[in-house]
Amino acid sequence: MSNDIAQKAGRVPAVGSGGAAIVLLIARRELAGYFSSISGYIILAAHLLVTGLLFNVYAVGNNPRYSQEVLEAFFFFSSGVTMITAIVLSVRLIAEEKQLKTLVLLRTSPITERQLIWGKFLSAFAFFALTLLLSIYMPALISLNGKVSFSQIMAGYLGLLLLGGACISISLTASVWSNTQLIAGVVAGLLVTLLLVSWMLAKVTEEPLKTLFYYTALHNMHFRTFARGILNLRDVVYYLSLILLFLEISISSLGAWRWRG
Amino acid sequence: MIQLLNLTKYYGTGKALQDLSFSVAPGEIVGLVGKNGAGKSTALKIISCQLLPSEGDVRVDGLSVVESPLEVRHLIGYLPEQPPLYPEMTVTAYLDFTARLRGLTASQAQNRREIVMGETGLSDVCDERLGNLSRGYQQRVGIAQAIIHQPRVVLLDEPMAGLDPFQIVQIRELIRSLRNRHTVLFSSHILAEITNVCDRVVLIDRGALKAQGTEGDLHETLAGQQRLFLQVRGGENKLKAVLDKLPETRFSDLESRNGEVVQVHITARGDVREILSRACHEAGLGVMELRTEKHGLEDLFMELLGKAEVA
Repeated sequence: MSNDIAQKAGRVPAVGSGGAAIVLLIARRELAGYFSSISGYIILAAHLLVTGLLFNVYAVGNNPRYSQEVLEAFFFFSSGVTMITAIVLSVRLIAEEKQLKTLVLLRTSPITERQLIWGKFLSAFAFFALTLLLSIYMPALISLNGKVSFSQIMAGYLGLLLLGGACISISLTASVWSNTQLIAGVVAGLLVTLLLVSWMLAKVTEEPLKTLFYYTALHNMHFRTFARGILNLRDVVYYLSLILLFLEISISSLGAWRWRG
Repeated sequence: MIQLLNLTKYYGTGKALQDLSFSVAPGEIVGLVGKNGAGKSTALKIISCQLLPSEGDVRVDGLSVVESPLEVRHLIGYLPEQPPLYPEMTVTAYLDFTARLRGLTASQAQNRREIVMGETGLSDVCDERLGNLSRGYQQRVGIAQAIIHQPRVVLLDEPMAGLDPFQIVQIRELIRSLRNRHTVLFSSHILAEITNVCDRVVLIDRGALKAQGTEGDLHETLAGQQRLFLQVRGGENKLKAVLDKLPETRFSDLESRNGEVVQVHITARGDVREILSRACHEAGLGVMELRTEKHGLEDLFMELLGKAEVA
């Protein structure tokens, strides 16, 4: 009731007004942070270097192979680097703000936890997408020497984007939970590893856990289809659910700080 | 403008604030003074909606920090003890960002940024990176971000901490210039450091309100008061009757042993030892001990002043 009166009296703007603008404002500032520090360029360069090496050594190799197989191998090896890059990019998102003591600026501004988390996520995701975009020359090289399916390239990159997005979301949660980037990195690494090996747990458990562990396997059960150029709605839903789940956990964890102090 | 209503905050089992109540009128500059760990920062964190109180509430311009935190944040500008600065950003970019964060449009942010940089003396360093600025300039940027959206309430947590004497004078002037345009509540653990800046001082210790008023009021309060410890033989009721008859006297912590020996702490205006001793004798009470005690507030006050002398 008092809020309505205050808003009608023009003392404060309506809450939620300009929500998307705030998300983009936070994302832009964070994105600029990647480009204004050396670490952003190092991560980008390291990603391209390692992906390039794996492409030459393992995907292309010395034996003649079909272009489709080379491309599949490229996406398979890229996916490992992608997960590491996504984690390294996003562990700083909240933990660094804590270390610099700048989080207080965001927490005392009239923005919601949701706007903050989405802004942070989008910035890391945009930088990550740029990193992936710069690797497009590798599929282009395959197409020079063979026949490449455009749909396989699109499906493969969509898979990398979704896998990376899920890892960013998980790392963001780890960053909310941790006070330093190092601890956030360890926590994120553990969470991602747990999801990576959950298919192994499925082999030693009974139903219904067996099905659950198979379904939650981050890479084995959901990424390989993308690499082969198959777009499976079930896999898209899995990655989007994972992204949203961890974003919601981050939002709730941030909100809980007001209670804990 | 700001009302703290029976504010209590627990950290685990420890009590950071105990039933703290005071208010700040519109346009007033109030200093929240207390020793390190007294609860100043906790109180400011609750007012700025970073923390929820365990009990009680804070109302800012009538809005509750518990029920309407986002609306309250629109009304508040906050400078924590360490200015929240992104070292890679320039002063201009940072102030634009903070203005937009508080809901200003791009053109409004630009206008306000120019005005605030002029007011805080930042125009000369507008293109400098925040990480390259001196501590004094960083503090100015911190104050600039706190006032860029023209908030009704400005909260400053230890704004003079870590500054050299010259910088303290400058920041003091800056805070003084906020008078009438903003309601200002700022904390310090050094009483003398904030002299001449505040309209009023609120003294807290161990999370509880000890005294409030102008610095002169506090000195006067202390100068005229005497605290006594009295132990008598003869019964609680008789002692209460004696104390009730004494003018301008308060008593606390009355304890009775076996219903016969009674002890009490007395706060009186002026020296009442002779009158008290005679009144006890006339009432048939045997005075076993009567001595002056140091005032708790006096200890706190002297400690706060003492720190200033050292600083």
